[in-house]
Amino acid sequence: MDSVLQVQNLTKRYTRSHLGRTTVSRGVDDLTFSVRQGEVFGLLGLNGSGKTTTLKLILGLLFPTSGEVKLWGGPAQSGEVRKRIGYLPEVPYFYRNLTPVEVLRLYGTLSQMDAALVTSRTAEVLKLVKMDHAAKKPMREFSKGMLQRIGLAQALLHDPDFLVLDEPVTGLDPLGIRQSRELVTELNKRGKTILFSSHSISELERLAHRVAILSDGKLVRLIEESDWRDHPGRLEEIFIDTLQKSGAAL
Amino acid sequence: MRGAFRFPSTRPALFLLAVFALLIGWADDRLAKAMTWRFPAVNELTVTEHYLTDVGCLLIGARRLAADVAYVQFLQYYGGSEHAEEEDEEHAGHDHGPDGVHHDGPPPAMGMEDYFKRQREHDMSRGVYPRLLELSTRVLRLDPYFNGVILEAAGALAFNQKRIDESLGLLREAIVRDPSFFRYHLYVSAILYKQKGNDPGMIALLMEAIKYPDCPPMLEMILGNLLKQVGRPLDAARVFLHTFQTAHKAHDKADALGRLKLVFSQHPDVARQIGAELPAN
Amino acid sequence: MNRLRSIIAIARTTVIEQIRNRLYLVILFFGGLVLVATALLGALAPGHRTRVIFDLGLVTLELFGLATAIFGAVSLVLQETESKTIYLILTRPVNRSTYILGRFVGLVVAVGCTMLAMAAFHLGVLVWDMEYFREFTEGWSFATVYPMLLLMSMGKMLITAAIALFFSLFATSQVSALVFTASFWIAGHFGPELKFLIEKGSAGGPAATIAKTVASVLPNFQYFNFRDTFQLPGFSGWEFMGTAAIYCMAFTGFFLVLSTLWFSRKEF
Repeated sequence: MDSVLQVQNLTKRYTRSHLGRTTVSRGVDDLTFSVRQGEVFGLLGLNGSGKTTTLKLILGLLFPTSGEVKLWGGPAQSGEVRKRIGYLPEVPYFYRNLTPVEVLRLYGTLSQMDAALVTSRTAEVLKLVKMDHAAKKPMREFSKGMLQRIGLAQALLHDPDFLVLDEPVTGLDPLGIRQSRELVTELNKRGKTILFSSHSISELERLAHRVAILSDGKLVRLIEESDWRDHPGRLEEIFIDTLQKSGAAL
Repeated sequence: MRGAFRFPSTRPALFLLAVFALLIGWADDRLAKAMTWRFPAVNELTVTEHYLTDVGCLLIGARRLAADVAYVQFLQYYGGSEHAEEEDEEHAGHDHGPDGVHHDGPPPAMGMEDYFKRQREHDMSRGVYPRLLELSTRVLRLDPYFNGVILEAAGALAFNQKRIDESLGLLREAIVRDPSFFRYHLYVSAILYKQKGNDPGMIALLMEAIKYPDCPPMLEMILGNLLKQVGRPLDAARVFLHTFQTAHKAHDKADALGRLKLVFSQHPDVARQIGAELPAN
Repeated sequence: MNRLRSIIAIARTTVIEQIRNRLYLVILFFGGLVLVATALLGALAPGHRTRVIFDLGLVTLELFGLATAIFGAVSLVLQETESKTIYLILTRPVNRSTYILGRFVGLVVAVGCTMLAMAAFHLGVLVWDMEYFREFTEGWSFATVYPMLLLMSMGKMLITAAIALFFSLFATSQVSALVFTASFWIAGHFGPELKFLIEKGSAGGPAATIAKTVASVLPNFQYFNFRDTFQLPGFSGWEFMGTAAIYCMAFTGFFLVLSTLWFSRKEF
């Protein structure tokens, strides 16, 4: 199976200088994994384990200290590659004084979609995320859940092949979580490759084909779906056990 | 494979920076050479209680505005008092006030700043305006090209306050700062004639000066009075009429009208002639 | 072509954001109010009434345009970084320089709109008393000079906005970015005075050399103060303006390139 994403010996160190003192902290350390075409890949870890850092390194928001990130065999910074990625941040922020239509128009243009396609896709994705009724309202009036939906809409607008979702169910009510899950399943069925990080073990259990467990910036274990399928709660046991063995503070 | 991430090359950006830096240097050089005019630097400004305001305006590039504000303050100090006949002969031209303070320019050993300081401290009870030169110099040094105000101030000093030397001093500095404005020379000549008692010479020069829109109304009325005194009531009436028609301040208009009526009452034939000269409407 | 589309899209969004921002509207409102109030100061200077309205109006226009430029530039990247709206831009196939250019173009358009709106107020006040206005403009062409004065003020705004954008990239707070930029504004007007004083003064030494060097690298905003010089004898507007335009573009370009260099290495 072809790999969509290849992460090779990826390391990120943060250097901070203050009043003559320099401190070096590790974001991620020597990460190596790949995400196969058509799979749902989960990143699981405690707060500060390096999940968001990993996603930001993949997306070019952070620059690696060493190591490589390749998407479809090419450098992750390439424009052609980024056209095919959709990203939903943990808490999507938008321009408060703009409407969803205006914001999606911006993102569509930046994703190099032509004008007619932007217009038609905007209507489509707003309907998909059930936000068509608020298409022309300024986003300062939106609730957290509504913003999350718009976040999803902008991630899907340009019909990307690879979706990167950072804590996609944060801020959603139970119905929203279920709808989100169904959407992810549907997208995966259509052939989208999905990488998502989550605290929610139950969501990962239901959706992921493989899960990488991160602890203190390191990849400590990579587990296949077969390890937890048909055993509800098994993923949580594996996660806790892995962390204990890695010496993480629980 | 362990590979190092590399940022894109900075060479194109550094090249662009170098090009822009060269362009800046070239343009700066050309512009500096083309700026042949010069305004007085901050250390040349007159130091008054408004010095911080003046410097503040310079800091935000509002020099002309600073001069405008200085002019408004000059008017607030002196405005509305341009009565050509309020000449206090007892104090004309020399020491004013009980303390014997000289108001006709600083003594030889005294600098301008000290002179201004002494003027500020002088008693104003006799209606003398000791700071007239200081405040008009302030305007001049903020905007040497605010010619109308300098003419107004010089006229007030020379013809109203009889402070010839102060007036000439102001005009001389104005000429140094803006040598191209020839009307300063006109006024200097008129004032020198006045100093020498050469009324016909002064009248001729003032007749020339009033042709220009920046001639202060006060000066026009002084000319009108002089023409009346030398037996030229028709010319005097024409001057007062011109002042009435063109003055901006209501006070000046009223003053000119009053003098015109006085001439008409003293010389009815002049009234008829002026009436005939006016358009039908 | 895609790059141009992206710049235009970002610029359009920036303009919309700025115009819908309450602070922008407040600045515009108070600017208009001050411009109408210039008639009051003008009334205190009979004989030179229109000149006072003219001068005060131009300074007001410039200062409020400056306020829009500084607040806008500082909010562009700094606020966007703090609010993380920038993530959804940079994760798309958008070059970082495209982003900076688009934001800058949008800001300039927004500032230009502010200044044009206030110029409309100003013109209304100026021509309100036509007689005085005719007297004031006798001997020179208002229709030619006024746009020149506006363009020169815009030149200052361009440089200042580019500097403000640059500072906002590494300032730790909006206040510090504002202070830095305002200091540059003042130094750009005062620098030439300082340089002149140092040259005229007899003192040499490292302090004078440093001061001279600093004054030389700062933008000289006096070149753009046409409102002080347009009536001067021998003043030739067009050639000077052409060179000033090159100076402005070069300075703006310099800071934009610096901003792009810095921004290309900025992490989020």
